[in-house]
Amino acid sequence: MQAQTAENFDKNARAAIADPVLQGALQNLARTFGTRRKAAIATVPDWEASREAARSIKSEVLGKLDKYLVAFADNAESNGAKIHWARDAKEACSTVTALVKDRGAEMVVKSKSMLTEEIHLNTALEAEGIEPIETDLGEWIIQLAGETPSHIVVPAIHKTKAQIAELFADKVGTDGDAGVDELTATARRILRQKFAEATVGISGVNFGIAESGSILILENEGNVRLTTSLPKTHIAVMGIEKLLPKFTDLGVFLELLPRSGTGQRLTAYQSIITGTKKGDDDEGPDELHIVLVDNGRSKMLAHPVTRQSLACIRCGACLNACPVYQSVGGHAYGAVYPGPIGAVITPQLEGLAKAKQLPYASSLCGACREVCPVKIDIPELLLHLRAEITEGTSNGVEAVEKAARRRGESLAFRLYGSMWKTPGRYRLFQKIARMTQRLVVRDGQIGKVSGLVASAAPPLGAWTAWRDAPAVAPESFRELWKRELKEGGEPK
Amino acid sequence: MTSRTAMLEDIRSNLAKSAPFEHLYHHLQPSTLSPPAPTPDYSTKDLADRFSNELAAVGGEIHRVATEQQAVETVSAILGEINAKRVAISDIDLFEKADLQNIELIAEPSREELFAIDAGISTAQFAIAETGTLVLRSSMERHRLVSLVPPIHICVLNSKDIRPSMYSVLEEMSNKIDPTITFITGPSRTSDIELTLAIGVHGPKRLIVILID
Repeated sequence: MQAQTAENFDKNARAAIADPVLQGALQNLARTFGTRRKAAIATVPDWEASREAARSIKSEVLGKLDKYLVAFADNAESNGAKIHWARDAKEACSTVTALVKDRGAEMVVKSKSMLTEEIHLNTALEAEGIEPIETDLGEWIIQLAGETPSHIVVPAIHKTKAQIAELFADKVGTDGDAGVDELTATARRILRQKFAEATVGISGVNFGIAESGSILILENEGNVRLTTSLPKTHIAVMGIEKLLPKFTDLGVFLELLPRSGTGQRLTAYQSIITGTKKGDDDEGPDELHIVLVDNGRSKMLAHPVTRQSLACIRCGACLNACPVYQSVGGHAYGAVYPGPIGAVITPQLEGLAKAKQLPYASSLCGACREVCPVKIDIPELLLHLRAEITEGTSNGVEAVEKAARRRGESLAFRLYGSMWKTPGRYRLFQKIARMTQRLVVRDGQIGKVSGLVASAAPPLGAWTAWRDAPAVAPESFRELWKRELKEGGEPK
Repeated sequence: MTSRTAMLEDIRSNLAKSAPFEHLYHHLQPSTLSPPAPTPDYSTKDLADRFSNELAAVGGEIHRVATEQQAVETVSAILGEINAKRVAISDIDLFEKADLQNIELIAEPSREELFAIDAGISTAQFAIAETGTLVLRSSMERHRLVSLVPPIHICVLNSKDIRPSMYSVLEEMSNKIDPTITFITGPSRTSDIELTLAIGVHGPKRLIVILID
């Protein structure tokens, strides 16, 4: 399958909608996670208060990000970790590959990390002759298939059990009709061998704690614990926005994240790692390297609307709730982060020019904002990015479409505005509309405008292709009122 | 200029361009930061009951006993049932008085030994009643591998160590944060294939808690 790109969202989306297997998987996802999430948040005494608290903690961190990063780095280092700073994907990849090469490792075990997907770490490792083994079941499936994740929490959601059984039969020699338990057991058996051999483990980070230099990683499978416990060297790749000020701040985020993500009250495992092992008696890796990655994040701080993007905790709730994601799936977005949050992050990370269709991949229904555990106003962000595309407002992001092309649109809206200015004009336009609409009204609705009218005014054809509007009534309310008064008695 | 300096400068200059955060979040009071957890006044018995129910709900197994001696007997019986030959144990002295015939007890398994072990035994320093969660602290006990690699994890818990919520446990640990803290809620699980639950993908397939009331 050819890799899909964000430039072709429209084309990708049409193909996705025509794929019955994908549609089934997406329905299953929306239904299952939707129901589980609802049940899980019902167990929280005051869900809204927790969201408010989480958002204000994130605001606190982002507003003083320099201060908190320095504190985190200092505290982590005083506990024995080594901090690396990476401005962009290239620097992050070269830092990690150099660490792996210096330790003479030819293979590394990896737990799931969206950031390592974002910086394309696996490609960088492979280019240096290092084999990265994804150990999260979903990620391993994707890796075996040579694909990319289609969801930030359940990466292989677009694949059916039958497709995975076929893939395993082809790649690792299981039965072509193996069930879920057998497939899972096969992954366990094969990946255990890798865990036993690996000398370097690479993980992501869910939260970093500034006051202690701790990192916390959540999971269900146990592969994160194996990745961070068995190898001699642990490399954690972390976005600079992942910080929380205090250790106890974890409470509210551990309440919000699993419930929003998988609808669990808590995932099976959370590991809080603070520096390296203390003495020979202790367990765990000898070395902990934390790579702090910017890669386009700090410039999101420059505007009050865009900086909200950095509050995201990657739970995936907005994907599951989004009618667009539910219809087209993750791959259509052609980017590492799909769904509503992807539609706002991708253009900021990769540039609007590469992803200018994504801010339009939304009906602005607001379901994403409703479910977001950190109250990111995604519709506001989408509108902000749309404005950047059409107006070229400055936020370090280059405008891709200049107003010139929009002159017609601007004229149409000025005309529309002028017709509401005085009662006389309003009545005049009402009359004109009544006369002209005859050409296009069917059953009291202005439906799809086609034929002569559409070719005379193409935007009208495009606008009405997907939208019905009620026809202008033969008699307005004011006219009716006047007539009835004239005919005598009280208006009915 | 180092990357550290460059990154911090980027952050500062971008923050300076933006409106202060109060403008966007004016409705948020500082008091909403880290709200105090509502901590109902549970008795130890309530907490133990709640913990047991929640653990069972996430697929964990629970055995409630009255004394430490009974806990040891229960563990021995379980090891017999599963026909365990080699058992890994953390650095606790739970089995000093136990009679474990035909079982090789490995106190500090090497990496190679670990993968050929039938069960791992540890204790837990805290537990969380609301979610059925075990809390294992590395400064108290070497728990990381014995609770993870073997297919069965047997954990001995004292009911006085059960706390109502995650908030209360974090609060209690915040003064001295261990090198590693592990929270365990049920056996290892995945839903990565068609969202179908499968147990024991990488970690233990069975989690058995012996609760001393």
